[in-house]
Amino acid sequence: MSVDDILFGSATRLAQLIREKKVSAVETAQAHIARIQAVNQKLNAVIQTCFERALEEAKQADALLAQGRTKGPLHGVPMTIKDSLDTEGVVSTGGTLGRFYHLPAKDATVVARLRAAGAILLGKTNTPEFTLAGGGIAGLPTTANIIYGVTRNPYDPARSTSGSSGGAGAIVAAGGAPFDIGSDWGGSIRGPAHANGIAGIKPTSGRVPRTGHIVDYGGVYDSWQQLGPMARRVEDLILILPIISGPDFRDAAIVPVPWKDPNKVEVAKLRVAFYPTSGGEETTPETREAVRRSARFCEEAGCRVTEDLPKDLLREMAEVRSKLVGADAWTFVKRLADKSGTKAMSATLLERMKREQVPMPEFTELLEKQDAARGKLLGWLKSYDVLLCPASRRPAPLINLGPEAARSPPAPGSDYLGVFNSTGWPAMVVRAATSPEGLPIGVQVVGQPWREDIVLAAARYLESKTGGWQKPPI
Amino acid sequence: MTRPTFVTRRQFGAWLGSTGLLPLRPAAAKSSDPAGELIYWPVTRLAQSIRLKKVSSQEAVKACLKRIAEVNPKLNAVVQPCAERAIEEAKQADAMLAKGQTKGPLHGVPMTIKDSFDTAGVVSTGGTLGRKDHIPGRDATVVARLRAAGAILLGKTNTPELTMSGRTSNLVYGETKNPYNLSHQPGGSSGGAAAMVAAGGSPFDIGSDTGGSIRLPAHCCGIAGIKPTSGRVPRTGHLPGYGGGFDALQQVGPLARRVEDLVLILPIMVGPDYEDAAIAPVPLGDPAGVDLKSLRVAFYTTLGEPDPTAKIQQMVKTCAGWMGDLGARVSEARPPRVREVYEMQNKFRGADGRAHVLRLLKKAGTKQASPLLRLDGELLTASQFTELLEKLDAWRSEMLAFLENFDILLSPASAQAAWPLSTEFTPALADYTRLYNITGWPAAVVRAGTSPEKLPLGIQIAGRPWAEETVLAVAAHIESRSGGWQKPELRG
Repeated sequence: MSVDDILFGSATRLAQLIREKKVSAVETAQAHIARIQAVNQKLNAVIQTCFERALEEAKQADALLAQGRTKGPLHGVPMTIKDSLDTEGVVSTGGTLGRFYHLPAKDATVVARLRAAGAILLGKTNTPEFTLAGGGIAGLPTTANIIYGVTRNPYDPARSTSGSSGGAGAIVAAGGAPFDIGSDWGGSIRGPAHANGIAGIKPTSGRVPRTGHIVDYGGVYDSWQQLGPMARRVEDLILILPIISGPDFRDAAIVPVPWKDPNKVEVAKLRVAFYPTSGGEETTPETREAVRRSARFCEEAGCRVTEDLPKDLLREMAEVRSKLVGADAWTFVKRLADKSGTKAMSATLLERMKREQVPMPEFTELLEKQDAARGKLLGWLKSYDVLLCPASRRPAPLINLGPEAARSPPAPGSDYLGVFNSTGWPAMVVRAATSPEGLPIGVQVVGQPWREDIVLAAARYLESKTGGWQKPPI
Repeated sequence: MTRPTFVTRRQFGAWLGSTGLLPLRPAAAKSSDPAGELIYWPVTRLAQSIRLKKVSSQEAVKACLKRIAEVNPKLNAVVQPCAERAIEEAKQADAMLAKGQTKGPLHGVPMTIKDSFDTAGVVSTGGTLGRKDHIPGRDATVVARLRAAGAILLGKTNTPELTMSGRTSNLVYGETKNPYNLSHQPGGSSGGAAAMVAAGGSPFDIGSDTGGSIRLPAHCCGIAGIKPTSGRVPRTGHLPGYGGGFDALQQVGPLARRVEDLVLILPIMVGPDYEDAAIAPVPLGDPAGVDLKSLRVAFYTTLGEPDPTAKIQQMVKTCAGWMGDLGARVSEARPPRVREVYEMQNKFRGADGRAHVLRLLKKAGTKQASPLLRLDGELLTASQFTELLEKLDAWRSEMLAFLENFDILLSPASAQAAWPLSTEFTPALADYTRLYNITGWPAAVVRAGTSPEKLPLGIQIAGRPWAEETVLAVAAHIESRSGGWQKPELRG
């Protein structure tokens, strides 16, 4: 058993090795702690650690195993958790100054479920303020905040990790944690999965409780926000997602739709749609080719594959979304800041709050238009089981301190991710190619609502063809 | 018993049944009122009798049409009949049966449908003048599903304009009356549905419920009705349709005289239709599998001023007692902060100055709206609106925490029995029902008592989200103790 086996294998395999006592939970924790200490100076991904508690819990896990018992399917497996999720006894800032010293008394629902399944928390990973200051400090297009600073990409420290789950994406890619839990309001799991070359899934709206997340359940943007796992291998998402799914009797939006087994999906029978570009700002040739190649792999498997871009419907949804974002001049974020006791907010958030509030008659009309667009897109999706498209129009960009990078929003149709927060469909990203600069390129795999099983099975198939995650050269 | 030498298939079946060799079909075993007239049969019995050719679909359709003709001059409940098509469809249904085929579990069974649902080829006004002559090209999803299951549309039942009032009256068709006392209201907005089903003119109807519009008419007209969980049944083809800021409040569900009929009909209506994006594919449980004695039941007799009548409060306690008799754990408990929530909801509904209602009127081409339709509201700012939604969702979460200790909540359906025609409808009359539109939980009403004025009294049975089977099982038990629906006299 080499350290590399422990650090760079899948969480699924690691759980098995621990269960079979081929490696102890303590050795596993120690190896990951050493790896975090080795790479974090460059990455600044893990921003709070709880190594002592982790080692103590690992000892207990080994003791339990010695008695022939396990806590659950993740027994003794280490994890990191995005800092926007409450972790009992471990500082949870959500990237906002008012929570600089905030020690939650209770784990977020997903954290509690993972720990009950045996997972061991090593530390917290960086997020922009409230997960929403997508631009980070002064519009820096990466994961950064006033408290902990800038997180860097393990494939090139000069580049962005994307956000908001950038700390999670970077440390998982670098082998510092087998998995992490991200949140995704507009691409915050899938963007970092793409930029850091790992796998991450935003489940269907209503699948996973948001209780204990800094932007929790409720409010008009409720259905956009989902939590989901990020890991190097698709099989790990298949292991972890069912553990965190289902009602918790707090988050009222969660629906008990039964979990279906991805292992029972027949990939050859899937109806696949794809579009290599949505026709906005230029999508790089390698990105387009990554989507085409993935579509060809599906064809090889026997899938019925169709190039089909519902351009007008996507445009319609993107327009409604851009009007709804900040329709209340981001006062919901102001309320979050007040609740957190934050007096100085990120410049990006303050900048956004200069927006005019939308008058109410228009606001409810926008909500009607959003639901109408959802209905129409659902009608389009009825003919397909899987949609393949880019995760982003380019690989991770250089971390750019220039102010114009902060201000200019992408051209309409350039965002491949947010539209699926609006539809509420399950969507994931898995590494499918490498850019000329040697950076990961992810492909986005989208499915019908509640069919995470199909999305995951298709992504796992593509991963088997492309190789998926590759070890970064740190 | 000796076996006759020559027998028809029917005689053989009857003989086999009389030997006790075959178990009774569950539907037959459960059917109530076996001696009554066909027009009062439960849907379950009617469907089975048609399937077994004991009665033809044409007989059933004609009997209902005859009853509608008798009672409708008094009730004004069916506002748009389609008798000829119904008889034609019944003929086809009988012809199919003669070939040994059926369309589905409702083969040949007549129904009426609330006029807020689109019905292909049959005028569907939604109670608004702009759609006075509107003939949809397509059935609403639930109507299409019921017709595909074999049901036959007799006609449309009255609704207030856009379903947005508790009083079943509009400028197109006028006012609907209560079959138990013609000088009283049937409740609303599915008042036409409830009045006609109670009077035996229709075996069942489909209502919609944004604040109590299925449950209040069920209460006022002494029948059974269920508002399913938010996300259970598609609203495609309803007016108002799916979507918008108030989407989660509105649900669609069946109304019938007997709870067993809701159990039969609801599964036919549920599940995604790839248009209404709010619908989730959660499996529907079987009420027959519910262990009633293991349930934790809470009841509350009042939510404060104005208190329900003494008779209603007593009825709730009696129903709770019936659950206790079975061994269920029964306790008294009240949902938290309801007064505050009513205020928030009133604000919420008017937050855009009813611009959403004005848009519906404009789309319908309506120039003159009913005075019952609220077009006022205190215009909020976007910031106040998003904050209000956060607060309402926080309360929904508190309610879930409250529900963690219970499986079923019993309460009044309203503070009083069916109100006189002279009464102006106020939201207070819907205080007990509208709570569960905000939570999105399933809630049914079934008749469980009678007021001193001889009007029906319904009990409201609410349950955990997606646990319609528990709600229906409890409703069926209460119905078995109370007797449920009773034949109305159409007087007063």
